[in-house]
Amino acid sequence: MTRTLHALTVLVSLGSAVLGQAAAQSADLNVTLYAANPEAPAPGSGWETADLIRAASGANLKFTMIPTGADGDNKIGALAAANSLPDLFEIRNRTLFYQLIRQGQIAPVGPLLTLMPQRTRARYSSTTRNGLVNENGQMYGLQEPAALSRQYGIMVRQDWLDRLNLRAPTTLEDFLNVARAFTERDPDGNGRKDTYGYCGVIDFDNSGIFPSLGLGNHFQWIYGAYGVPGTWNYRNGTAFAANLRSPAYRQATEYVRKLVDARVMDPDWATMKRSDLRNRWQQGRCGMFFESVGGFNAGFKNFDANNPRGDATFIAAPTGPGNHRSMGTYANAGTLLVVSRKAMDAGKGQAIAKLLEWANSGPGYMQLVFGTKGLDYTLVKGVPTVTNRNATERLTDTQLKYLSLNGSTQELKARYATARYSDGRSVSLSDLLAFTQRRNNWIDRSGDLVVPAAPNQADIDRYVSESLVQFVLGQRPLNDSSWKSFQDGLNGLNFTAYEKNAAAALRANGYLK
Amino acid sequence: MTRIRRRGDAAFDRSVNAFLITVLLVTLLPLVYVVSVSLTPLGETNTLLPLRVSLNAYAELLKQPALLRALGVSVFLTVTGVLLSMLLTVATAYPLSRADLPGRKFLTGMILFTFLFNAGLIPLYLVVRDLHLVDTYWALLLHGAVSVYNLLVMKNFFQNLPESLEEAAKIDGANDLQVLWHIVLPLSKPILLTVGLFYAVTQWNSFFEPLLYLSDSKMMPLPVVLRDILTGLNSADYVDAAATTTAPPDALKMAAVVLTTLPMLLVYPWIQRYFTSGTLSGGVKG
Repeated sequence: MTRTLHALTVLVSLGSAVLGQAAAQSADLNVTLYAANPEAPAPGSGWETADLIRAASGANLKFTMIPTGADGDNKIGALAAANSLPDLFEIRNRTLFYQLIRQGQIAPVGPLLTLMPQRTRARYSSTTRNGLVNENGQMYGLQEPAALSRQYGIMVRQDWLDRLNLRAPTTLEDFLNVARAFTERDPDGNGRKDTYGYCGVIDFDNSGIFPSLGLGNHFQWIYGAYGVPGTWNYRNGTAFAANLRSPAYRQATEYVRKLVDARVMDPDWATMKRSDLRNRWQQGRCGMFFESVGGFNAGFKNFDANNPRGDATFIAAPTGPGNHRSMGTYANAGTLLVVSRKAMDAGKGQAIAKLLEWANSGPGYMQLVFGTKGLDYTLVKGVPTVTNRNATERLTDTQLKYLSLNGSTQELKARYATARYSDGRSVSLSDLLAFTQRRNNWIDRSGDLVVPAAPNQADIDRYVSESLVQFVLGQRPLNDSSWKSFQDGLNGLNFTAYEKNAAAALRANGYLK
Repeated sequence: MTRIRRRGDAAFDRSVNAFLITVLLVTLLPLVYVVSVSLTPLGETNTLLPLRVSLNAYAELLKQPALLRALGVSVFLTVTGVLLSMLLTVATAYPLSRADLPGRKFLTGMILFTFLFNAGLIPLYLVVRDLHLVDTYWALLLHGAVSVYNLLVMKNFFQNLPESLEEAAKIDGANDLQVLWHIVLPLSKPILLTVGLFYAVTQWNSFFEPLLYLSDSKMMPLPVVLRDILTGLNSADYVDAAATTTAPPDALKMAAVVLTTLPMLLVYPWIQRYFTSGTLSGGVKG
């Protein structure tokens, strides 16, 4: 009898294993990611990569693109409420991420880690980074490291410097002098006073750098020169506070005002959008401007057409009075992937792990990031180089690349190749990227991600930003009493509680001693 | 005294004209600027009137197969949606406009209730999902097929038609459907065209519903695809190698705006003469 029972148990186990394998082999996997190339459609049926994925992971992939911003969050929220979340999806809104954990909509991903050893070693082995997605001791997300960060910096018109016999600025004082020369000494030689020393806008995008309280990323290098970049001051654990409590923050604000008073900045800076700024530097109106390598690449042709001898390059972050310098802060956290509890309960974990492992390196990585070899790219000295094939098709084929990107040197060289001016000169975009990443003393503030947003976060953001704009535009005097009044105003917004919560969260996650 | 009043009248007329011209300029100049920027070639500065004209931005956009497909989807959704909405709206508004409909007040009240209170996004999504309409065009066509506002405007218009016409038709042996088809609808061209335009504009601009209910990018209508193209242009921070264009990014964006608005701008003049009488007559309670 016992023997029979044992035999039955073995048979059942074997059956389950076979069934489990069969289930894994034929799993329908719904994957939703933000579009890697939003200007191109998602791949449809008959997609060659889908066959490769089926062969590698046994998953019948259904891929959906999700729109960025509030529209995407609303869609995820509605799908969650209807218990219809995709099996594997990307999430950018961390408040929504924690909300879905509390609602029990997403599953702990710990069990997947052993099923994808190479990917885990390469991407999920940092306890600090994994701490960003932990809740009650469980890991609820696959937090990728940043595949591309710190690609911004101050660009300068080298041809204008040469024409005016100037050197690239290295200090804040130099910066003002060069900006003044670019504004007043007709650097483009067209006989008109139509240029500005510096063009930046109030912008809080987080593509590669960390948005913080204040005037936004385009002015962080000034706060960096005073030693107070970013929102929080981690250095002094016991006296932890927001940077804007520091006297140096006021000094940095005074420097911005100095630029405004000297009229060396585009006067529309406080109301312009990033697209306006891009338009202006492409048209040759800015001597120095805050830009990313990708933004420069996108506007390069127009810039070249407008400025036949134009030459733009990065400068290192200028040094401030205390010898501080930093272009800004960044977080070493990229794409956040989560698995729905529904998918895990349906036994799709294995297929998900197989897909991700395949996408991590080797042929899977190359297929998802660059497309089909020989068709979408060729290898030139080991670097994938895109072909002249229809760009839309190539972009459609690589819509899933966020599953694979790893930020390796080879990848960045491939993605940021060489831009050629119409007169034959060329500029290596990957060299520009390497320069701005390495020469700007960027400060890792990944810990900011664990700081819970204040209940009135939007009010706090608006109050700080608007007050600073008033100070630097001269609409409000910048003296002891007005600065104190600005700081007192924070109390009315319960800013102290926000700071206390931030300190507690940073301590709990090991970012603050 | 008379001369003074005339002088005053003339001054008043001048100020009204000046005001209207100002309003016209405020409305028109941004449109002119949008068209102008869309025609700006590489290497030119954006101005109100372009120094050189280039159609490269339009050519670039129309080269994208996704955009042409989306254009077709939008035309299909608009035409089908308007036909369906008009059928349902007329079929509801006409009976409600007849005084002898039993329970008319109650039914009107029920319809009005949905105008003031709605369930919200998630219950709506659940209904659409449970009816198995997700990932089908029915989710976009049936959802909001009848607008309460348009329904009430049309009902009021029907109520204003002289009852004697209907009585005469009935004496001649017409039934209710014949009265509607042969008498009421031919007399209601202004309101039909006006409400039809309202529905067409709503369906043409439909953006969030396709995002919510559809997942196949090939099914997406024009506004969604244009948004993706514009997002791609705006988020140039992750641009990869070989990102080339023959038009400035701003020209591409403005060309996208023109392409979206053009069909509705072309339709409007054809029905403009009915528009005023349609909205006014529908709005006056009989």
